[in-house]
Amino acid sequence: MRKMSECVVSTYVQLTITLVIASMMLIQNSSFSFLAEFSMGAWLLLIASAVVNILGSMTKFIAIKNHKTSDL
Amino acid sequence: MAVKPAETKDNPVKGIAFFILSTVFMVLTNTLSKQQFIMTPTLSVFDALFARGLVSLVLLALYMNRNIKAELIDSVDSSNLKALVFRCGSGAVCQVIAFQSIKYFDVSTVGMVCSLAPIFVCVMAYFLLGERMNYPDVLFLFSVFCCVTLVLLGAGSGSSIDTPEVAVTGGAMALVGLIATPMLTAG
Repeated sequence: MRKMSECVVSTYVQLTITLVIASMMLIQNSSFSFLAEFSMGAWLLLIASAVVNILGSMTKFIAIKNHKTSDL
Repeated sequence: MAVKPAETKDNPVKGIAFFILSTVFMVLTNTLSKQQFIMTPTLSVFDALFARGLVSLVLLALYMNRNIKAELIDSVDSSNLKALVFRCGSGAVCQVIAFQSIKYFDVSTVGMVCSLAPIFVCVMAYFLLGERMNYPDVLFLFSVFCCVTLVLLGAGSGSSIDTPEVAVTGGAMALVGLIATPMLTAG
């Protein structure tokens, strides 16, 4: 895992989440129309949250690559 | 074009600096997610997770640009596959639970419980990675546990569970999740 690029793990985690949640929403017959109902503020908040989340997991992975897990 | 990340040697200063940065980003993520739930009260946990996952994937695809195949397929060898699958599974479950907790509890309460993650990290690192701990480490971890417990006991009403229905279903799930979050984060 330590040899991998920082964004690989983030991408696979996000891909898993998106696919699993989409499947669960389809099983529950939930609508995806909520995306169209977002205000501009909600979209900005969503994008900011996604950027910060990616940065968080990437920096954590860089930290783990550089030092012992238990010390961190 | 194949991407071959360089083999990195241990660099404690860089590691700790990036970990502090990561903690700041994670706190910011929790705060923004809570703000999202406040701004859009009808938003469910699944809706929020799906929307963020979708936006994250688009952003990551843009970041990787034309190297998507090289980054995602060529850089993963069979020896890493098991760890990657475990990481994806635990990461997904962790984020569902974290969102559930953030929806029903204060961000500060969730943050405090997440402070227990080091205890689980040390236990898992000992058994799975064979990393050793000194007596001071054990002592300080115990003191962290005591401090978090004291703060949580003194926090009073830190939840937004206001109806009996929510208290029984979502609240109970969130409470269990809140306790499970540090354990999954450690994985």
